[in-house]
Amino acid sequence: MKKFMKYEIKGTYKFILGILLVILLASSVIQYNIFTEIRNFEYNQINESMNFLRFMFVLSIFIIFGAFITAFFYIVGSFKKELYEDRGYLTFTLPLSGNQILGSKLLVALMWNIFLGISTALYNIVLSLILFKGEVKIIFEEFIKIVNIGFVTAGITGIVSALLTLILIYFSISLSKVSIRNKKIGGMWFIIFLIISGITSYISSKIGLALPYYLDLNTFKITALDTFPGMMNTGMMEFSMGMGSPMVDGMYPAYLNIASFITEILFGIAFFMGTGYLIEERVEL
Amino acid sequence: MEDIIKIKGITKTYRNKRALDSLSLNIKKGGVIGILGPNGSGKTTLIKILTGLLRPNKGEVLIDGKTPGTYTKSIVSYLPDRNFLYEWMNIEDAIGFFKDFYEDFDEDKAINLLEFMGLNKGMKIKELSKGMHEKLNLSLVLSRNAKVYILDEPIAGVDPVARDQILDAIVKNYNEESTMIITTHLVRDMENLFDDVAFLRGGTIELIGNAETLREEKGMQIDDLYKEIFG
Repeated sequence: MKKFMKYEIKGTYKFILGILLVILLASSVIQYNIFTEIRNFEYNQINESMNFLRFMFVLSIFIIFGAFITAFFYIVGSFKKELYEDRGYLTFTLPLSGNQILGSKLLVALMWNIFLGISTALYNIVLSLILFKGEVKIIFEEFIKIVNIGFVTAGITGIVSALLTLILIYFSISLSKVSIRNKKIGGMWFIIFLIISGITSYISSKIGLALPYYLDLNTFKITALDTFPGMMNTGMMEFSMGMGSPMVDGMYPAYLNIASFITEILFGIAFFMGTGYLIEERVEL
Repeated sequence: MEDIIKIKGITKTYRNKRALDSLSLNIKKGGVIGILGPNGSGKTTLIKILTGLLRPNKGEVLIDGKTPGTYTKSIVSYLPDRNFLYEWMNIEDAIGFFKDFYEDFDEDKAINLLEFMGLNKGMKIKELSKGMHEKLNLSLVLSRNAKVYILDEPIAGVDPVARDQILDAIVKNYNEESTMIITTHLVRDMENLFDDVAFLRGGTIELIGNAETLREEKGMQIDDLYKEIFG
């Protein structure tokens, strides 16, 4: 499995580094823009170049967003290519099980997502250190205030959610390949993904509402909550309360519905095994 | 001699088309068998079932006593009828890849074969011509000391010089303890390689036998016999 991951990384690193370069350039534009705005505000200077800088600011935000989306679809596409392109003749005749192939692809995809996220964050921190000098201390103090244990655990559960989504996408792609044989219908996997995603979210939210026990991500204590503190008890809120994703509120600590989180983990395991089975036993090239 | 491959009554259908129809075939250990037939006769479907890329709707396949899966993939060296290497690779990456995944891969043999084929390690996969692809893929596949080699149309679409090089490489690198299955419709160029031949038509075996015996019995070359059957 490690060997397959090695070749996954070798085959994708150039593209990912290209994406990272785009993100870093766009981040630099945003930071420089903020720096200029603050400086001009301080000196009460407004000139014509400000409009251009503001335009670049907005554009850069779109570029970063687009770059992350592109990276995501590139990772999804690399799995699709195995099923629809000639490279599958090599991958699926290797002495590897379906779970090993899938596991390697998932881990590399997750690794790239984390790498992009952490690199972007670190670069921006370093750049702000350079640009803002004295003020960075204040920025860091504000940052430390919101980074508590709940923030970290929410980050970890967020990564788990991303992994579960990726598993469901791979399952949908495999199911689409199996159900429509060799016909490649663009976007069919996405429809399957939406349907399954809707069903699983509904089930996990219902289970979450039936068993309203939440894990406080700050204290790791379990609390039973009938209504979520500080939030309006709307239907939508009830639905989101039941989801396995963590809920963070500025005034309140983060909570995680235990039953629905476990349900989603179980769905993830089932879809992982299902995808492994499909690519080993059902997918035909 | 012991059979390395046992195929019992396999049927494979694609929608309404029956590609293989209750096909049975036993292939003994050692020797080269030619699976001959025109396009659409079921050759590639049969090969894909043996390599685990397709599954039969009915029947059973055993390779070295196991159904196609992780184990059989470790003992079968397969040359598909297309370029299967990852496009980002150069030839050196491809050698490393085979070395990493197949315990039976002989790197020295691969380097010698590539030299014989006139290919060098730095060449990029996506920049190779059709003939170069075929030569590279064959070099990698033959560099494994596999129990079974499966070559799907190894000389289709390549120029006569490359064709001769490919045939030379097969002859020089064939290990007599291994079994080699070659599918082709270019019978004249390849018939001297075959110990046995099986003629495939409409997903069933029309005729099977020892190549030399068939030549004597029918009083003609295998290529002429092919034309008589499918002409």
